[in-house]
Amino acid sequence: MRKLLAIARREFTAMVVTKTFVFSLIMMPILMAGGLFLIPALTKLSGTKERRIIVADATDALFDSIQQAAEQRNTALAQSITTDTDNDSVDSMLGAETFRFERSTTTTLSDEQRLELSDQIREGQLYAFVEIPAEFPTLADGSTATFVSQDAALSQTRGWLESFLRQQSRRTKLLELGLDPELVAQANVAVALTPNTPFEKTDDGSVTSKDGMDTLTSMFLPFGIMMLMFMVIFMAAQPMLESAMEEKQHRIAELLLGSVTSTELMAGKLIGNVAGSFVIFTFYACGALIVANKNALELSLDWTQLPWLIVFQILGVLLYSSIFLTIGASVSELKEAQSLLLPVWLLLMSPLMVWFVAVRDPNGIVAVSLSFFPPSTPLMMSLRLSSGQTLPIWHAPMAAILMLTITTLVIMTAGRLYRISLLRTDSAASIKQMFQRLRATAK
Amino acid sequence: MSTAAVELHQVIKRFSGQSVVDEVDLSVPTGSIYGFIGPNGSGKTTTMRLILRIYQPDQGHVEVLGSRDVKTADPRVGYLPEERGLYRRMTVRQILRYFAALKGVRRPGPLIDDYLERMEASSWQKKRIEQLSKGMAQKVQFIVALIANPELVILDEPFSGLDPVNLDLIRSIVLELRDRGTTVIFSTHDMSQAQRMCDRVFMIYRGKKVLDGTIDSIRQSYGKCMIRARMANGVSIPEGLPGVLAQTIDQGFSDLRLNSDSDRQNLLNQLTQFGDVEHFETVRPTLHDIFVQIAKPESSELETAEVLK
Repeated sequence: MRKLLAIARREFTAMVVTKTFVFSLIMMPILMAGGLFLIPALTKLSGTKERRIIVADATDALFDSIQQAAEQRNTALAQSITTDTDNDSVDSMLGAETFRFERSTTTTLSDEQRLELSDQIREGQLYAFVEIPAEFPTLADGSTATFVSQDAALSQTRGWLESFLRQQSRRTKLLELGLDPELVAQANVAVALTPNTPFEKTDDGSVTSKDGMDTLTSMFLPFGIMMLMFMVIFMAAQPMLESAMEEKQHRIAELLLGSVTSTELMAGKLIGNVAGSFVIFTFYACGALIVANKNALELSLDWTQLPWLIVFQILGVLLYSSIFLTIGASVSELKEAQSLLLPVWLLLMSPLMVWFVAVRDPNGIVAVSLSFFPPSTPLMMSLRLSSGQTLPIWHAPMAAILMLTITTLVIMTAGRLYRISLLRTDSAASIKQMFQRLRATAK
Repeated sequence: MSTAAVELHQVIKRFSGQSVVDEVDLSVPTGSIYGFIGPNGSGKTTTMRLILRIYQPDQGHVEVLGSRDVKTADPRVGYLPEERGLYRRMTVRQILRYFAALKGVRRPGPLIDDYLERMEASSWQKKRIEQLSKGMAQKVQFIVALIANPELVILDEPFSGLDPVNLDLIRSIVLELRDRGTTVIFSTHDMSQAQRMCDRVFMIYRGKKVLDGTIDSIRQSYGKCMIRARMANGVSIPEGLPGVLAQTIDQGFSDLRLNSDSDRQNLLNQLTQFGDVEHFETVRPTLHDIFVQIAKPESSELETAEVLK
C-alpha cells in the first residue's frame, strides 16, 4: 500500500504541480466559452458597417416607408452604441449595420440591369438589391420579393427587411378587411406560462414547487455540467498518456519495474490520476458557483445527485486514463498515439454530438441508450442528472454497474497490455497490433 | 558462500515462440560477484529480468533469496538496468526519496546523504536530472540500485560510459558490497573487468548456457585444449596430427587446439618423433580469448559444445 501511495503521490504531483496544468485549467473554459465574449468584443472593434441597398419597388408604395423605417433604426442603433446598451442582442453579436436604401431608376429591372447591379455587388460598390413586384405581397405563383447579395441567406439586412415587409403586408391586409391595425395591436396580450417543477412536500410539511428554469438555463446548465465532466476526463487522461510515454521513451520503466510490479505501477498511477481529477472538478465547480453567485444566478441543481456525478467522474477517469496509459506504453511516438486516440475521443465525445436532443428529452431513447453505453455514460448521465427531470430510480445505479463492469474489464486488459508493452522497443501502432500482442501472450 | 542467492532450474523464456533463454540452470552463491557475459542479444538481460521477476519463466523455476514468489517485486533486490533513465524534471534527492519509498525504506534521509557523499554527489542533490551529465545521472541510478541496502544487486553494464575515475569509484563500491556479504550479479562486455572482479562467470550464447564456473576453472578447463609448442632447429610441426583440431602459427610458435579427449602426453610423444621439442606449454587463454572463440560468428553451437566438454 505504501508503494501505491508513493506512486500515486508522484503522479498527482507530476500532474497537478506544473505550469502546463495550471495554464490548461484556466485556459480550457476560456477557450470553450471564449466565443461568447470574444465575438462581441471583436465586433465592437470592427465598428459600424453601412449597407447600401438599391430597391426596385414595382408597387411604388413601399419604398418611402422602408427608407423611413431604416432611418429610424439607424438612429436607434447609433443611440444604443453611444449608451452601450443592448449588448446581448443578436444584432450586437453579429455587428452593427446601418442601412442606406436607394430607389432604383426603374420600378422593375431588366436582365441587363440585374447583371450590372450584381457586378456592383461583386466589386463591393453595392451591398444588395431588392425587387418588389407590383403584386406584392403575394404573387399568383406564390413567390414574393427577392433580395440579392453575396450573403443573401445569412444577411442581417435581409432579416430586417423581411420582418418590416411582413408587418407592412399585415397592416395592408387588416385595412383591406376593414380592421384598424392599431386596435388589433392593442388586442395582442402577452401571456406567459411560468415553468415550474413538480410539487413536493418539504420537511416542514408544506407543499411547494420550485420556480422552473428558463429555457436557456434548462438547456445550458446540463450542458455545462456535461462539459465539466468532459474537461475533467480530458485533463486527467491526457497526463497518463504523457506519463507512460515518458517512462517508455526515457527508459524509466525498467528501473520502476525493478522495484514494483506493473500492476502496482498502473494502480498507483490511476489513484494519483483520480486524485488529480478531483482538483480539476473542485476548481471548476467552485468557479461556477462563484460566477453564479456574483451574477445572482440561481443554479437549479439537485444536490442529491452530486454523489452520482462523483461516481461517474471516478469511473470515467479510471476508464479513459487506463486506456490512455496503455496507448502511451504501446507506442514510441506521439504521432502513433494520436491515431490510436482518435476512436477513443470519438467514443467519449459521442454525447456532445446529441446533447441538444438529449437535453430536451432526458428520458428519451437517445439519452437513455447512451447512458447505458459505458464509454459515453459519464457525459450523458451528468447531462441527464442535471436536467432537473426525474429519472427512473434504477437508471443511475444500472449505468454505474455497467460502467464499473466495463471499466474493470478494460483495466484488466489494459494492465496486461501495459505490462507487455512497457519494456518493448517496438510500437503497436494500431488496435489490431495491440490485440495481436494480447493474443500472443495469452498463448 | 554456503547457500545460493539465486537459483535457476531449467528455465525457458520464449518471445514470439523463440527461446531467448533456453533450459538454463544457474546457481549464484550468496556473497559472490557473478559476471554475466555473452554477445549482444544472447539473453543476459532477459535472464536478469527473470531473476528480478519482471518476466516470468515459461518453464522451470527461479528462486531468489529463498523465495519462488514470482508475482511481487522483491525489495531485497537492487537493480541498475542497461537502458538508463530517470524522470527528467525531478531533482536528484526527489528521485532517491521516491525510489526509496518504492523499496519500502522508511526515513531514507541519512542513507541518501551517505550515498551522495560516497558518490561525491552531495553538491548536486537539488539539481534536476535534466541538468546532469550522463555520468552524473548514472551515479544517481547506481545509488537508486543500492538505496534499500539490498541483499542482491543486479547491475546491467554498470561500467559502460564511465570515465576512469568514476569507474574506479563504482568498482570499489561493488567490491565493498561483496565484502559486506551482498551478492552482486553484473553483466559486462569488458572481459578484463570480469576477469578482475568476478568470483564466477556465467556465459550465455543464443539463450544457452555455455560457460559457468570460477575464472580459474574455466581458464584451466579451456587451457587443457590449447598447447603452444616449438620444435628445435626450425623444424615445422606437421599438420593433421591425431587429436589436433587446428593449428595456428604465432611468432614462431605453433598453437595447437586439441580435441577434448586428446592426451597432452601423447601429443608430446608424437612431436618427439619429428625431432627435439624446444617448447611445450599448456596455454591458459584469457576470458577474452574464450569469449571470442565461443561467440565468433563462424563458430557453430556444436563446435562450442565440443570445445567445452
